[in-house]
Amino acid sequence: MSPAELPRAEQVLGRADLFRDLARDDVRDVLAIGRARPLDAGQYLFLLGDNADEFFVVLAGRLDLCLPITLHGTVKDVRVESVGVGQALGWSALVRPYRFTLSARATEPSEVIAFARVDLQDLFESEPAIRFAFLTRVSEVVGTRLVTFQALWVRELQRAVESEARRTVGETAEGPG
Amino acid sequence: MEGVLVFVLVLGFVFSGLTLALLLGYRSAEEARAARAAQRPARVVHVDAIPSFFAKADAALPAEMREFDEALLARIESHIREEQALVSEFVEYPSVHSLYRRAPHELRAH
Repeated sequence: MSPAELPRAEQVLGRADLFRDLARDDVRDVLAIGRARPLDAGQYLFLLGDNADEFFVVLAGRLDLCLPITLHGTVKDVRVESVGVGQALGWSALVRPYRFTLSARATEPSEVIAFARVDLQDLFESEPAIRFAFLTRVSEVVGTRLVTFQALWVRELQRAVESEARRTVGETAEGPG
Repeated sequence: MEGVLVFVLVLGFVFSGLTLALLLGYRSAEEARAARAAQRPARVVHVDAIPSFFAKADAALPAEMREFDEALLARIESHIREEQALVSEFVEYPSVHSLYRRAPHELRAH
């Protein structure tokens, strides 16, 4: 990032969950490898299935994380999560197979800081303390997503089971004739 | 005395040779594995290439049907938001009770 952008980024990221265990100097080290990227409203940052080479933190604005759903043969993006200032997205860049599993779209004019995986890996090599703190927080983000989707999925499954049970009871009550 | 010295030297030479052979073998196996990984074609799936039931857009869709789709999409997103709010307690305090909290609205297509 350019020196002019650093103070604002430092202020935002200093309060972000992802960086809360890092010392001020460590935050600066991480920011030094970041690149600011502006986004227009409606612009996609990445698409599901794209190569995930960068990890992002929202510096300004808001982005929707979307999954495709088909309606009458048209693929629509359905918002499943919304991330705002200080929140991270794109953890697929840190774990194999390095492909995005959702699409990300700016809902308003926004700005993110992009961290290239190769740069992060180099930093982690030289600064194990940053690696530990950073990856611990990323694990929380991944874990929360996993548990949330697990719960959402099992609730839908439970609904399907109850719906099927109601249908079977209805058919039995109506009888063969 | 000289015999022992020669024996130790020969033993050292044999041991060094074996160690070197093992190291070189391991390295060449790792290099071969890396080369195989590099040759493997990358598989990237884009949204517009999602197969089968994710069919192409039907340009002839009537306007009222498009409005219906937009309304349905809004209801799906609203449903997801409500569900996420409900499961957020499960994420913090997992239990059967917090998992199956009843939703205020059910998602129905009609």
